[in-house]
Amino acid sequence: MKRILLLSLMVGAGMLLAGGCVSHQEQSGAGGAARTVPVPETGESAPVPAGLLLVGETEYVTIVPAGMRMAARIDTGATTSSIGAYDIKRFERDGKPWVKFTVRDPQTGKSARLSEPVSRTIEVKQHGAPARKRLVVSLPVIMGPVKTRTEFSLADRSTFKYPVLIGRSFLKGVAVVDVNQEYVLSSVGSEGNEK
Amino acid sequence: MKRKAAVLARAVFFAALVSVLACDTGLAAKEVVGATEVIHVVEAGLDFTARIDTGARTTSIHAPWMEIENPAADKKKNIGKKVVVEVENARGERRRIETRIADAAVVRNAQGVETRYMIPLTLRWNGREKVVNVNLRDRKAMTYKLLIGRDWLRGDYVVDVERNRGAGK
Repeated sequence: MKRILLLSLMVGAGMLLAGGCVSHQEQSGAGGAARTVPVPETGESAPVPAGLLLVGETEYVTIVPAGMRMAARIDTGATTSSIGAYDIKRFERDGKPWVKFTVRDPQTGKSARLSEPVSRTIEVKQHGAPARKRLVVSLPVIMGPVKTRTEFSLADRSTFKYPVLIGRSFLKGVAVVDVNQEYVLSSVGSEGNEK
Repeated sequence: MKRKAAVLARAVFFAALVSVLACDTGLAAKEVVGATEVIHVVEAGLDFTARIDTGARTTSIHAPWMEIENPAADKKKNIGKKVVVEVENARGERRRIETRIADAAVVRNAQGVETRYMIPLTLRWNGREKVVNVNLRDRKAMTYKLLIGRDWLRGDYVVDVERNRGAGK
């Protein structure tokens, strides 16, 4: 009996030593190796660094002043988020630059006209085309549990499927993107139209 | 005494089991990549600082020059043909790759009609290799000569844009 116990102890210790992470190859990368923590609870083992949300390649985002919840593409290639805007008209209020624009949800056809102060202008490089200036406004948004104010550049994006692109300035310190999934935040208790 | 040993043995066994399981899932688990990563293009033997772009469906590379063997006027007919492609990274290092055209897409945009050829490339990051069909583009004006799209990320990687702070934007 004692011998069996001793044996199992040795085998166990051996497993512990040998098994003590074959996955070290993952950790040779620059910096944040300790962040590669598998989450065994979820079926999909996506490593989500502590405190960060997991989002899919698309998520629903509520643009609070428009009262609209729109499909957004999560775009790590974009520095700033952007929103499709029509009839962009600049004006002055109390000596400050403001802008009026219409946002429209292609899925529902609903639209809303918004007036917001211009926080800055940015230059957007697009493939093949010359750089163009865009106005930037700060809008309160809700995405899953996140309620925040974030910057959007106003894009003439009448042809694109997603009226909203969520860029890195929103994602930083907030979310990790898994392109294997869509509408992660709305899949539980969803009111939305999922595909 | 015997009981103590039994408890100890059980504890060690359990710990071992947990660690082995953790390692197993760790190997199968997705890894976290940042907003930019240095990726090795195996066929070219070159490192590229790549932008990781979940907004892009496919991966693209800067290819300033290419020559197709017996090119056909109908670009779609060039699929499968031998091609020599020159790729270039941001440091201006160029290499020629001999391969076959995997696909050709005719794209209409504001600049007119453009044919985009794709070739299979092995992209290595953090010791792990993955082959995807890469778009050959002129990315001369772009900061990142390699753009990693969702095709490379799918199934294997999640993106944390806060990783690699300081490794360029």
